Amino acid sequence: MRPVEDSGGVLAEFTAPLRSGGYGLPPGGAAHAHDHGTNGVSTSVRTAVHNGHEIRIETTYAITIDGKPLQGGLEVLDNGAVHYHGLPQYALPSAIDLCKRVLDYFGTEPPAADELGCLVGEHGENCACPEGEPGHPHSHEGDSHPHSHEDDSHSHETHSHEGHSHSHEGHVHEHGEAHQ
Amino acid sequence: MTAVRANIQTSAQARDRYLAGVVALNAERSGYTTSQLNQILSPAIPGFRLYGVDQPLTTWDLFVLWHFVAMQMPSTPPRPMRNLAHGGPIFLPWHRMFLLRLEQQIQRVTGDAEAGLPYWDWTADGGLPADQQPASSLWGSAGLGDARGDVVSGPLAAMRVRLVGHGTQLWSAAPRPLQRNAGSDPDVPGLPVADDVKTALEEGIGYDTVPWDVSADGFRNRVEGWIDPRRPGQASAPQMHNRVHVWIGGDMGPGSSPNDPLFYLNHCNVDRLWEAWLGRNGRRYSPGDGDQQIPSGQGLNDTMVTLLGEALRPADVLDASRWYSYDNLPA
Ligand SMILES: [Cu+2]
Repeated sequence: MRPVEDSGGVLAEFTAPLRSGGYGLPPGGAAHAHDHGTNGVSTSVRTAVHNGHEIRIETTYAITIDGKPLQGGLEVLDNGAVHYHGLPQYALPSAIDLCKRVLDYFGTEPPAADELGCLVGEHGENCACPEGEPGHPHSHEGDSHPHSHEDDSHSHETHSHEGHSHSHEGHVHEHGEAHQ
Repeated sequence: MTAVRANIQTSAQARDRYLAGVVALNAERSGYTTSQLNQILSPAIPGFRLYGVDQPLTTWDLFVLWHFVAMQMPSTPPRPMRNLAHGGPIFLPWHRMFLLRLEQQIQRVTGDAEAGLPYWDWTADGGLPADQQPASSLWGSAGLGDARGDVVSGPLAAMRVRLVGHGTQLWSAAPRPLQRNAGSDPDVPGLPVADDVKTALEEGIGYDTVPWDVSADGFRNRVEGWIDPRRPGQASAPQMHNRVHVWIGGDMGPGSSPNDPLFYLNHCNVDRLWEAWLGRNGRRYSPGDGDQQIPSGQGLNDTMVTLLGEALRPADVLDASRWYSYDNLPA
């Protein structure tokens, strides 16, 4: 075995791998993580050999929650249990139960507005740009605001997310390509 | 100098030093903001970026980021839940490296070069009636704080979560307290018990085996917890390491689970069980030369995914005695 010179080091030295983008990364990086689970549709393939015969089972899930595609994909284990990458310690017999867990853990709204996407020009449904910003691809024609007239007594917090549904016509947004 | 890793429920000194260390790391500015990290990591890792708000991160947060990135790294051929830190033979060596780097940072911020990470022998609490488990000596204001809801008591009330897994994305959000939900998942009423450890360490059990994934029956998968070896081939509730994550819930659920100091206590116990296996079976690792279907990036001499500290290979961590030892290994 190679002797390891290893002190842990001070902070600058310690973060050197981070500054250079990480060590031990596979060629092609995380592209795989976005290959499946696009638009709520994910496919996994199980194979087995039995008495010399090859079994191949391709399973595709197309999942929406409140009509919106589930972000990230589901995979089927050989024993039939279903796994969601965002909850890395779970595999459940039922995809419905798994979606319930996803809702229990994450809800339906992201934990923040996405100003980081705006910084790299990757505007999306949750971005933080002010409306009508120049060069901004959002269009608000399709916005619906179901409570805007009836519920004036409700707090504005409940309104703000529901009204924030942008239409994406003409806005190309493909994971895995945006940064190359 | 080497550290001795002690049981957190029997060593108040190890516990208090650890809690002071993690709170300090959680408050220490790393010098990186989330937008800077995107500039660094997006080109290096195609398809990866942080979402959410631009904010300065702490040293503690960088470990959360590192774990999340490693979890996104594919190992080929693709298998469910297999990546360059989980779901395959790399699980134990990668987390050994990860814990070692945190231990060294705790040694730095506490000024105690012999500070060892404590472990949580969850089988002791697993032996309690289920309703008493979230009230064991681990929890409460002298220890890890609240077992359910926001952590507002004890030293960890000072901690703030800034990076959170949301689905399969990592989001930067307004700092908030840690959150837990211990013992409330009906599928996982209790922690692993002593018999689970006995089964995992069964005489003659190999380290790992074909197909080197979440279906393989070997020591690695028994402790990672994808299978219940007493019910072979059946879909089972999460076991061992997985079970502890799921049982605690809250921030221990998503891939950002190193937010909670309990992550390290759980993994330190997992590492301790591995040390017991290595002591009994020799400092060996598989897959090795001549094995079939070896997953990429998980060989003995492959460099493990590293964002902090020197990059190591599984071969470098099979003998940890230059860094630390355990006060006690399972009998
Ligand atoms: Cu992990």
